[in-house]
Amino acid sequence: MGLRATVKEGLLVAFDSLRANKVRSGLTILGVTIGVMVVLVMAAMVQGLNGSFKDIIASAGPTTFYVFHAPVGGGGLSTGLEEEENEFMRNPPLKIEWSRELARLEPIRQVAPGVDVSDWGYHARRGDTDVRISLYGVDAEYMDMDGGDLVDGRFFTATEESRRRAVAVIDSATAVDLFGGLDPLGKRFNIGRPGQRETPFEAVGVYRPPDNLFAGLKTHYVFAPFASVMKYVRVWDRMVYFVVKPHDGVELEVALEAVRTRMRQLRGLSPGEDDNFYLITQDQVMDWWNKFTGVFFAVMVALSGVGLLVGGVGVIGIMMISVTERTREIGLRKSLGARRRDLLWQFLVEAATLTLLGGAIGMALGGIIVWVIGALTPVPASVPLWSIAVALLASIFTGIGFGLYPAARGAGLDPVDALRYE
Amino acid sequence: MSVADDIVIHTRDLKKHYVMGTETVRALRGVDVDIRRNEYIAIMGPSGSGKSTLMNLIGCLDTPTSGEYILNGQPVQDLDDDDLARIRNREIGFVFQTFNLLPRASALHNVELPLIYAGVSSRERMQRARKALEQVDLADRMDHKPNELSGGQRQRVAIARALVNQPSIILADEPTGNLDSVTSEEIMSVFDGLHRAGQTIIMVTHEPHITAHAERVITLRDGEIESHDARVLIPATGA
Ligand SMILES: Nc1ncnc2c1ncn2[C@@H]1O[C@H](COP(=O)(O)OP(=O)(O)O)[C@@H](O)[C@H]1O
Ligand SMILES: [Mg+2]
Repeated sequence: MGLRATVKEGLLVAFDSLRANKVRSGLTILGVTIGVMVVLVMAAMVQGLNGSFKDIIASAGPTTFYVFHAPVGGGGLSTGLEEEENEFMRNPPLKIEWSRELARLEPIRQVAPGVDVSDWGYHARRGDTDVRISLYGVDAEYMDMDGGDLVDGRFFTATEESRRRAVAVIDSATAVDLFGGLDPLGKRFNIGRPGQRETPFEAVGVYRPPDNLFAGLKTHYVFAPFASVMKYVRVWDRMVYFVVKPHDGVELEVALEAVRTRMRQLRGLSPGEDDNFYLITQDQVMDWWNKFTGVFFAVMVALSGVGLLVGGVGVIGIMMISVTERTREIGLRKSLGARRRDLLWQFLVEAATLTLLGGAIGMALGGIIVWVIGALTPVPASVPLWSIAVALLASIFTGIGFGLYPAARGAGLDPVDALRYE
Repeated sequence: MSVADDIVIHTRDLKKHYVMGTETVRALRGVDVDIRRNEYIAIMGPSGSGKSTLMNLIGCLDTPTSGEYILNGQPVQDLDDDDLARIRNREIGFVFQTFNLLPRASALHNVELPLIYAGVSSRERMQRARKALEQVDLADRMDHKPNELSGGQRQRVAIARALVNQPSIILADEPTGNLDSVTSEEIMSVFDGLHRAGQTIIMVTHEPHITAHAERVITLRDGEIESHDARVLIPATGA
């Protein structure tokens, strides 16, 4: 018997029994549906996040690196949380004037000190209106590296920065919340932490964050000149870091070595001592990111595996029922010349059809979810082709794998006994 | 070869025992039959006498506990499962008391089934299944499902299915057992027609008037042959 005819016969039987047992079949394939949906959505998210992340890195320039006074989250450098915290306190903060020292190094084009207090609970207030903001102290050229857009006004100038003027660029969300429909340019608002002294800042520009996930995680961005933040807001100097941009065409290793050597001098380290500062490159950030998404992936595979397992157990159940219900049919088919393998195929095709259908529904639902995520959030989630192939194969193999036992039971029935079955 | 050329079925001392726990049921206790090509045989006997068991052995659905069975010159005991399936597919056409049609498949698809297992192309399957249905006068019912057909029509679909792969023998186990007497006669006339066209038929029945259609009646009792009774074929159309 040709394989094609067997498969076709299996498909016919499968759709017959699907039609006849809609609820039962639906429940069976639910596990597979959920499993496939999870894989698809997760894969789409990871894909999207990866894209975002690479964009950010690309917009900062591939050789740009950072100097921190202590290890930062992940980074591939930390030796455990406790050790990290120790170093955070033990290592002296970076002195701002060092950034000028580093900028003088031959391979280095530019060094900008920055301070990120976005998670430290700063607020912007105007009259009775008060919003929590993500505050950054940056240099005048920050915008070049960030990838966002100015939608109104301007970024602050080098002069404003050197004169430590209390000016700020705010994002659209902050503009709307603080000023309502009014034009915020030239207007003043206060920055501070609840219960502490506030400083008035003047809004000079409105900014739209780059369209990536990380922009979406935080909101209400406020950027002010680094020196102004240091002066008026008086943030903790342990929050200061340097953004180092080497000249174009300079090998990253060369730039790193130059900065490391100079930093050791500035820190006053003798030759035997370990570095008490950290140079973080884009590659390290990327490594850290990949490690993170790797864990994410493992969790996702495990989750969808559970879904498929549940679906698989359902397949065993429904196929056992199907085989039992069709005992006489098995006897009949054998009397007409069906071999064991013909019936084995028939039942495997039936099982695989069930799970494939479940998988297809899961893909459709997953596709919708991904579309909604793409439409409602800044995550550029998109379903990668490979995940469709994997999902389809996984659902087919779930059917075949778990259908094997019931199929072998059915195909191995004695024809006379099967025909006598009531 | 010891078996004459036109002998389709040859059995010697054919035994079939069923072991049920500590008890052994001797369904066949040594049966010798020889059936020639084109014969129309009726197998009679009370319920439990082993008629169906014998049919299952002849049809290669089951294997004997002991004894010899030669089908078309081929000793069946040497064959493996796949060979037996092929024999059931090519040499045997079963007709059952309960029709055994696939309920959700059309008459045409039901008749096509043996051809699917024979590896026949779908084009040829359609042609041959149509022809077989025409042969049993169901040309206008091809697309009907079994539940849209009368009992007699269902049995005719089953006969078309038995015929479609041109088997050496048709084995019918009480084919009229579920039908009223008028319909039974209708079905018997189909078999008569097949027989006239040269088909070898073995039919189990326990209704004496049915045996009137056969050339020879084999009577079983307690798993043994009680009598071979040759008779003149009475034309089924009577009139
Ligand atoms: N699969 C089986 N297992 C056990 N006993 C069986 C089986 N098939 C038939 N028998 C027994 O064998 C005997 C003959 O059965 P069967 O050939 O069906 O008789 P008939 O068709 O003449 O009514 C009966 O006693 C029946 O109970
Ligand atoms: Mg019987």
